[in-house]
Amino acid sequence: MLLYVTYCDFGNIGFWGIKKKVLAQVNAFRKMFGRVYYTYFAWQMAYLMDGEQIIEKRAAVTRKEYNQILCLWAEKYGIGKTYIRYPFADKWFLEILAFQKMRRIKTVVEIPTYPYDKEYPYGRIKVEDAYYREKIKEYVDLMVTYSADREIWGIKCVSLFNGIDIGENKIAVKRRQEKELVMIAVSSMAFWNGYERLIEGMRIYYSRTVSVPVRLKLVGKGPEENYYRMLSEKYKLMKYIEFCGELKGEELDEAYDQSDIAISSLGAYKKGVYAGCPLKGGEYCARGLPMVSGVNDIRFSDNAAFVLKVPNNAEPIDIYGIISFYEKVSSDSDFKEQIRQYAEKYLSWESIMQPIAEYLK
Amino acid sequence: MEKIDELLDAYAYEMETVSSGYEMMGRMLDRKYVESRLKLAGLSDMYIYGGGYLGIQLYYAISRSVNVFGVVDKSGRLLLDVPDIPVVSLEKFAEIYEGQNVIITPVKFYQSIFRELSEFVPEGKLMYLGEFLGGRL
Repeated sequence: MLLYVTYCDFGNIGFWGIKKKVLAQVNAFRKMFGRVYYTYFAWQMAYLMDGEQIIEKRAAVTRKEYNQILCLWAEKYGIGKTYIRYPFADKWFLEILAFQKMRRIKTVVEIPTYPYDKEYPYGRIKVEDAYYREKIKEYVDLMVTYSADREIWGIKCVSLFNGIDIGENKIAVKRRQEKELVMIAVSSMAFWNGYERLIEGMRIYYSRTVSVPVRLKLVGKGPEENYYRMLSEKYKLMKYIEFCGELKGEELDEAYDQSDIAISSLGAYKKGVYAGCPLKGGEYCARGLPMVSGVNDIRFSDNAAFVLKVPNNAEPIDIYGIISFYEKVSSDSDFKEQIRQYAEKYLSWESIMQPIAEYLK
Repeated sequence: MEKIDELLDAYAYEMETVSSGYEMMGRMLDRKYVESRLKLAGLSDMYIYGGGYLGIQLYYAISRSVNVFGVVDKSGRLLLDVPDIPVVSLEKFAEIYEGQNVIITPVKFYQSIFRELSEFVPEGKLMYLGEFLGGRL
């Protein structure tokens, strides 16, 4: 049996996007391996899950206790292979890797973002991670990365890209209309989303000739929200920018249904990342939405007609450019279906995870 | 090397238990959030275990919304002198317990407290404070 290990708090709204990805990967692994459990760590509680069903839960006040519980579950449930979403490395993470090696449990460690050092401020966690991650190679033979690196910390890497659970993402229904352009940005409102560039772009747009009203739906909550609100109020854009809060299920479907174009990551330069595959890009594709991206999304070739690549820097986003892009891409009556078909063909997790499944067999 | 390992374990344990406690104390200041958690958990009549800062804070956070019969503590006392909080010793609690929910607040000794209480409280009625404040309900 395979155990997908995470150290995430799936009750926290900042992890909802990650949870969607993990569940999609778990579903893909399930098709290959049968029963798959996953774990998460929330408010000093360790959870062992089968889909949405709790198999077991135990109090785990410290990281050490959480790792000890993971070892206990690995033995109790006869786990033969694990797929681990990389937490920051520490002494106890190495202990679980050593435990697995001793018991010949095959493991693959996934690094969701690499490099990641600029993503977090200096502190104890960074110092611990910088020290202990150099020792991981003693216990792990294969890592998954979403960057182009072939080797990280002396460990061989397989490059994947973020897929999407097609079934969980309905195609957005709105058809092209001339009277407005609605942009949607779904995020955890972290600094690397860079939506201040969009707000600055809207400021410039509304200070000049407006060809069509442009609105922005900001979905999600996070550390940058107050900053975006402050800018929106300062530039008197509040009637064009809607802070939707966190949305799930039908509410999120409805927000997508009201939107014409989606906004991917615009601030990846702030963490030194210039290529990658942000989760939201796959979701937008499955929804049939053309998108604007600052980071070079490796899932989409340079001539993918439904992706507008903007510079990966601090410059305000050119709203006129977005309008022209949308006019061009939406001129085909079934443009949404074509975008979705791309997701169905290239972005399913079953096909993406295939090389990992082969290794873990 | 073993001594260093032991030292690291001890420091990390102290640091993490203190920071968990701090986070929980802060979260309990959000009354709306605590009430939403009470609703989600379906809690009504209950006891709080632990007469320390977390137990006292929890009492104040929830006693206006649910019926808290008392704060149970092995010593029969609270860490602070707070006359309006009913306190029950563990011994007395074992005699009077009648199926209510219990939230266990001490961070460091949760496991041993859980074991001790489960001798007369059904496990399904026991909940750790962290689980109440942010775990899956």
